[in-house]
Amino acid sequence: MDDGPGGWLTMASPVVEVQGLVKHFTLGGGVVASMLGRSPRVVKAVDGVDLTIGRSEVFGLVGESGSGKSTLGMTLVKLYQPTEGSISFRGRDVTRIAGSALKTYRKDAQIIFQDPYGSLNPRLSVAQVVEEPLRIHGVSDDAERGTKVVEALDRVRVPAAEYLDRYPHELSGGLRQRIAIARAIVLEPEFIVADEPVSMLDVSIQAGILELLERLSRELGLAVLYVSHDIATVRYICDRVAVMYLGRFVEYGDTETVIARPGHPYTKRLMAAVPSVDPASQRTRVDAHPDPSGSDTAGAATETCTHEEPHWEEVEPEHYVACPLH
Amino acid sequence: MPAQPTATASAAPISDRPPVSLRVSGLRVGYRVEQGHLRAVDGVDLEVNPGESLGLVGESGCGKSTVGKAILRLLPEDARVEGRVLLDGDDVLRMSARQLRQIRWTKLALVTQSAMNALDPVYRIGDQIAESIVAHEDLDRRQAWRRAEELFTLVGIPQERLRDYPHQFSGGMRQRAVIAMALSLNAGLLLADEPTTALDSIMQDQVLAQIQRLQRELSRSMILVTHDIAVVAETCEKVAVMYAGRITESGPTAAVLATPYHPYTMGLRNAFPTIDGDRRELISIPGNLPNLLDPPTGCRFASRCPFSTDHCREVDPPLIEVGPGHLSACHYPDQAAAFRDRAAQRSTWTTDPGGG
Amino acid sequence: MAEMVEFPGPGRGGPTRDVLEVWAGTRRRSGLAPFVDGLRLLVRDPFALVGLVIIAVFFLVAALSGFLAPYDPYEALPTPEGELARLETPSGDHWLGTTAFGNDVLSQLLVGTRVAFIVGISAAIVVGIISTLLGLLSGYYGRYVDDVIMRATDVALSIPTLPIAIVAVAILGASLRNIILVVVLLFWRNGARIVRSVVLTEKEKVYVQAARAAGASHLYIMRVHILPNVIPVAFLWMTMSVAFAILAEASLSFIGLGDPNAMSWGQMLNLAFTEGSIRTAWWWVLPPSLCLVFLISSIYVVGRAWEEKTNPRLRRR
Ligand SMILES: Nc1ncnc2c1ncn2[C@@H]1O[C@H](COP(=O)(O)OP(=O)(O)OP(=O)(O)O)[C@@H](O)[C@H]1O
Ligand code: SF4
Ligand SMILES: [Mg+2]
Repeated sequence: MDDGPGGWLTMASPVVEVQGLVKHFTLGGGVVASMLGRSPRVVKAVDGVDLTIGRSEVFGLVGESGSGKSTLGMTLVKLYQPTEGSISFRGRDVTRIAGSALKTYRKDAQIIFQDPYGSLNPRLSVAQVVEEPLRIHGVSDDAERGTKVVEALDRVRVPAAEYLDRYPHELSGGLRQRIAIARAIVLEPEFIVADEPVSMLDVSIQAGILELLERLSRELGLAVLYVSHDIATVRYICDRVAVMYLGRFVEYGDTETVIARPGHPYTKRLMAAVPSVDPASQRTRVDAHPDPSGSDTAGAATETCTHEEPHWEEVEPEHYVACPLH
Repeated sequence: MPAQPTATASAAPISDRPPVSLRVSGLRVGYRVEQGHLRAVDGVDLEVNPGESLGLVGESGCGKSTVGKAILRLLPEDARVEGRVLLDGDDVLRMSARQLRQIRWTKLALVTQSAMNALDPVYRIGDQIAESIVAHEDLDRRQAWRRAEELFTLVGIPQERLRDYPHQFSGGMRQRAVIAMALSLNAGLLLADEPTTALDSIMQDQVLAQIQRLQRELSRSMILVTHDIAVVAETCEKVAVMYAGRITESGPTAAVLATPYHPYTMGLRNAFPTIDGDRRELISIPGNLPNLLDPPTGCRFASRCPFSTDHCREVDPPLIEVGPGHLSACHYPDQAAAFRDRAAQRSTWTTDPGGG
Repeated sequence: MAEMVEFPGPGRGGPTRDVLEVWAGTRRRSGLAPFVDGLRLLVRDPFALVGLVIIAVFFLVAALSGFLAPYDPYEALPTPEGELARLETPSGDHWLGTTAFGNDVLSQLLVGTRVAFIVGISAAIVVGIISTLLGLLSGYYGRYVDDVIMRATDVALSIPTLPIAIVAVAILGASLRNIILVVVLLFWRNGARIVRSVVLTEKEKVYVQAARAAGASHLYIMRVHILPNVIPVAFLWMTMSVAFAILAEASLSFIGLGDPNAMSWGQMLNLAFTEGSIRTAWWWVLPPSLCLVFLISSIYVVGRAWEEKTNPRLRRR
């Protein structure tokens, strides 16, 4: 992708910088399959992504399920090994680290998962859940762990005295998600991937969690990648957003600008899918599945494209759209 | 009068069965739990006229699924149920097992949150749908299969995918297949419990579009249970908002959501993220549902309501009519306009409403 | 920005609780907690409780059989008149009568209880260890490890149970050790598969991913997140192995492949049979049969209840 939104993407001292990241999965590549002469199928979950996130920034990533958002997030925290490209963390290349370097990186980069019901071990009390990362990283002094756990719970606004000895099944989804966030910040990381942290929560609770993420990012200087399928929630905590489709970014930009004037047909579609609380608003539903080539009615790129390669267009300052014809 | 067996009429095309009416009155459901008696539903009245769609909204644990299960008589054996659930005039709660079996497939159909569990992973989807048709209606396999094809077309999945296994479907397709299955028997009332909650927004949009189209085209009655008021805003004519086992506000969707009279409804509206218009503040409703083992006296929302008074904590507000068909259970309907303005400001909700 | 706090749930102590005290309170839970919890639930089930009591009584008897047995179980006892006390009906001297060889039935029964426990428990322990280990490795590491172990169980599973047991003991020689060996050979395979399937579901749990993301080692994940879920299942399998081992020993002994030096219940029945007393000397035949039935069914009842209590899917609300 030449002509990339390069200028906009480089910043003075980014926390996370990703270049040309690719993650492919090989399916059906077992011993038996290869003996039967079946060729393995390759799923291109992430297929060339550039991204920079700075200190105290919440960067939004939207796309439908299967677009590769979670894979990207998991690759960034090194739960998956990237196939190609590079990830650097505070200037250090972490793409292929292992062993103790990886363990250090695990302290710096954390992840919050979508499912607050599955992400806490039902056998462990809140205290044990939140202290787990400390134990893993060899904080052996019990009192020290206690202080840090209480501090983390304070940060997520969960009264520690009340909840330390409770078990996950006694907690509502919102509280569970707060506990999961406490676990993620207890090691004082600098980068957090929040993978759909509110999509399984009630609307009445979502706002509280979003706001918590925003505040933590500000207070702790955290770089946050906020992943969501719902472009409406992104708007409330992210200044910048990228839209992902089939493993690639198709649109980048300032959140309000992208929402006000979406450029790529896929972004338009994503926005058209958001229901409105206002019964009077008549939104038009787009019925068919989006066509990546953009022959979808959504307009925008009806002219022919003279470029050979996929490329970016700066449609207005700080707003980039990938050519939908590629 | 007991429900008449309708199996003989089933060879008719899908749209032939008449929509049904539902009237729930004084419904109370108690679960027996270790610590005592949990009043999950505590006096609920609902009305769905033939062909009408009603959205039942509220946050997790408010009892909305319990209402749905009571209507279908799917509650656990030891649950205590009171009240009436009149389906075309017959009380579901007092039906025999045989009557129940008849109405369950012909008058009532259920689409649940967990589409994964509704489909058996080891059989082809088409076989599963055809199987349920053959089991309940007087059709042979070929006719049943043809009906299944018709249904797949209705929910927008190519017919040849009937030969697929559930794992070969995406989440949204699976959800639509479950809808097809629920519709396979022409039930007059469709009860959908969080049919789209597990789906992403594009899938949700497609599934809702299908449900809505089917409901309108086949003029089915429908109850949609969800925590998402925007889904209701777009899909249902009427809405009932539930809180802690009771209905707090109900009426025509447009009226309830445009001019809510109950502070809880106002809170739900403000908590909802939107892409329309200017970015406004998102305001969550602090606090939790009250303990249903020992519900508080007075207004159940009082512990979280920014406008609560001593009067609220003592006297239970009744549902009163605030507009045509629009009911609200708040003591101060005349101050609703002022409440709406104040509820739109975050500071209103963050001052401790006292006694939390 | 304003704070949004979900209030503490109702009915709990107010903010008067001291944080550090609560923290200290959370320190006291041992790693055996799931096991203890299971047991606590178990004793609440009346059937399981009865079963447990029966097993406990048998166990005590087995442990104390040396003291309890009024005679040497292998000694040919004389009557007061000096003849061989052959096939005597129960009396004050011999509560359960005597055998055709003049042995005291009660003494043999008590010693047989010990043999049953030795066979059952040793087999179960070995089966438990092997199945847990292989199941864990296979399920957790997957890929080639899994391929190898699962192919091995496939092979093992294709072996027919009883015939092979008979042949094996006949070849290896009739001794308790060989009987145990055969039971282990026959029983590890299903155990490993069951454990593996638990591990397969457990390792996909989101909280395991979270632990990985926090830098946890494989050993840590297996110990903290996976093993506690495996233990109840492995324990259930071990319980079943006890029952199976006792039955297998009895069957082998009954057809004459028992350890000639260990008087087990099966051995007793075998002797009664070969002596042609199986229809006549009820005092010789009934006690070992009843003991077998009671012990085995108690073990099954307890195992079943254990499964019900520790498997949340079977647990009723
Ligand atoms: N089988 C049951 N036994 C005991 N209590 C139950 C049972 N099912 C539900 N409850 C309780 O009844 C109350 C209402 O539950 P219900 O499932 O109806 O809520 P809901 O509004 O559908 O919530 P959600 O949005 O989480 O699905 C809750 O307090 C819940 O814990
Ligand atoms: S009755 Fe009182 S507490 Fe209840 S909603 Fe109205 S103002 Fe709030
Ligand atoms: Mg529900």
